Amino acid sequence: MSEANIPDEPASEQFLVRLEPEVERWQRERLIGARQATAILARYGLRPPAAVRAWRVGRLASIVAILGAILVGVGIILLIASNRQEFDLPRGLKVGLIMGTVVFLYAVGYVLRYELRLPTVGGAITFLGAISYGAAVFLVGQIYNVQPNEPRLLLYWFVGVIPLAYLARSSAILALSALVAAAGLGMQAAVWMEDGGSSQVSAIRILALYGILGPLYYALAHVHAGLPPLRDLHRPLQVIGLVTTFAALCGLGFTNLFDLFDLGDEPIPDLLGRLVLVYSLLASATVASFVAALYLWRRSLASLPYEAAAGLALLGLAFATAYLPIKEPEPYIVLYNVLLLAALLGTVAVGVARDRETYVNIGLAFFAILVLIRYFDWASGLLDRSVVFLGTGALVLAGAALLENYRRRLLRQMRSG
Amino acid sequence: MEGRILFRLGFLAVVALQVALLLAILVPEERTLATGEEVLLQTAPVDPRELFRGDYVILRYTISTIRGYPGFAVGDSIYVGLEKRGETWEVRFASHSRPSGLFIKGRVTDALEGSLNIEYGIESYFVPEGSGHIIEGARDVKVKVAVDSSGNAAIKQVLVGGKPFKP
Repeated sequence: MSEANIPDEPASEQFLVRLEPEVERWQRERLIGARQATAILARYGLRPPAAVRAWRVGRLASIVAILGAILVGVGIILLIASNRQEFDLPRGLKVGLIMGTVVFLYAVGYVLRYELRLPTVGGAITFLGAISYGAAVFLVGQIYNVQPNEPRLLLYWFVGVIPLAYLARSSAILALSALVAAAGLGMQAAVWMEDGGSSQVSAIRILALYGILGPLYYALAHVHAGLPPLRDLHRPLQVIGLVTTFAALCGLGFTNLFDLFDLGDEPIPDLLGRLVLVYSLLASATVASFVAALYLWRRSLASLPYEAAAGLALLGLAFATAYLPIKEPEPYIVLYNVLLLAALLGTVAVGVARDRETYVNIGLAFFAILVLIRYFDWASGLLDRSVVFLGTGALVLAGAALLENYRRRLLRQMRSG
Repeated sequence: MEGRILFRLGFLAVVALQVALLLAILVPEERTLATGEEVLLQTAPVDPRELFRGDYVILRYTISTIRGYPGFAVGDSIYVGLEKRGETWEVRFASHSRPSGLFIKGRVTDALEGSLNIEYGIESYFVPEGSGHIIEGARDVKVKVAVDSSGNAAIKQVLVGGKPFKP
């Protein structure tokens, strides 16, 4: 790939929202003509103002339609799940109705979206089809009394909908697939750990699994953003990746978790089993995805090497937590909390630098959660708590002072240069 | 035009894949129900609930716990030979390998000094909403189960007090 082909970072929504009135103003002030205005807007995938407004209304309609689809989907699931006597139909007919509903929804979605050119409603109905397919998997399982904790059902849901996410280029279906995969992996890991007789440590190991999965989703988001045909699909992976990572870090930073589940004397029955294979595959995929992202974004995304380093540090720590006997949990707890704090500050910094509201919001939300849960978890006495918070607060303030100093230096350089 | 045909074929292929995956759940169960030998098992249920899938009862059978088999560990596959004692079927023996005669295949979920807890994949029975308590409160609950030649089992019918369960 030549330098010219290195992708630009997708423009932020905030930037796009600001760009439109700015271009209008430039036109009014005769700084640019109509052709330039159209060319500038087209550079960022926008059309002239009226079209942009129409696009925004369409986006709102799309969100409302997806919310409606979710409500209808949940309604269908609950209706059939209630297993009412009134619907006590022969087994074959029940299965036929369930499959028919799924196929019907996809047919309607397809016709609306691709034949009648109603992408918003058509996309929402296709998304409803993907939810209904998941419901169908569980309801067929219900008809045949398949065990409720059977991870295979989530696997079937994931395998069925992931190709559709890419075929229909649907962010909503990709988000659904990512969540289903995460739930399925957690459930499968729990079942295997129970088989291995290590249910005592499963909470820690499952959190460690999500500590690997979160960075994987995040790295995949960068890969998607770096490949023009997949760029529109990067956002759900980015959000789910960040949220999964921070949630895992929050959980693994609990002192009580390590107190409750003493890994010191616990045997590690899965060391050479299926579970270690899953951990290793996920970890390899994460490393490969970060390498691919670094290649795709080389030099055009300055913070990516640091993001990759943080992701890989978490990966290593999660692996160690899952597979090394932990006699002294304190270093792990401190490391997880330091990593979480650094990741949160880094995320907010990246958000500010790249004008990404989502990053800032997620970073700040988890910062608030971190402060709240550590207040109750980390130190037993008020004095201990005050020391922890005073220390951490002083560090964060020192960081802010350094940033301010750096900002002033930059301004001085700009004035003198 | 060609791209559109390809897209349509892709869409059809995804829908076909989903239908195939649904069939992958039901075909083995239907085969067991159609070809399996019918056995009656004695149970002792409890009643939880699952979001999105409705109410179900967890069934434990007299064959769910067996004693005197120290060679098994948690997670092992186990083949339990069955014999008819009176009205219901009970454990005749257990082994690591497929035996001859009527047997049911399970997975060891707990093993302590030769005492084993076993799951056979027939421990959940979905009931209409709010009716789980009927089974939970019943003194005599038996389950009619189809067991095929590979030892796979599927629930055919639940009998409460000797009669088919109708909430």
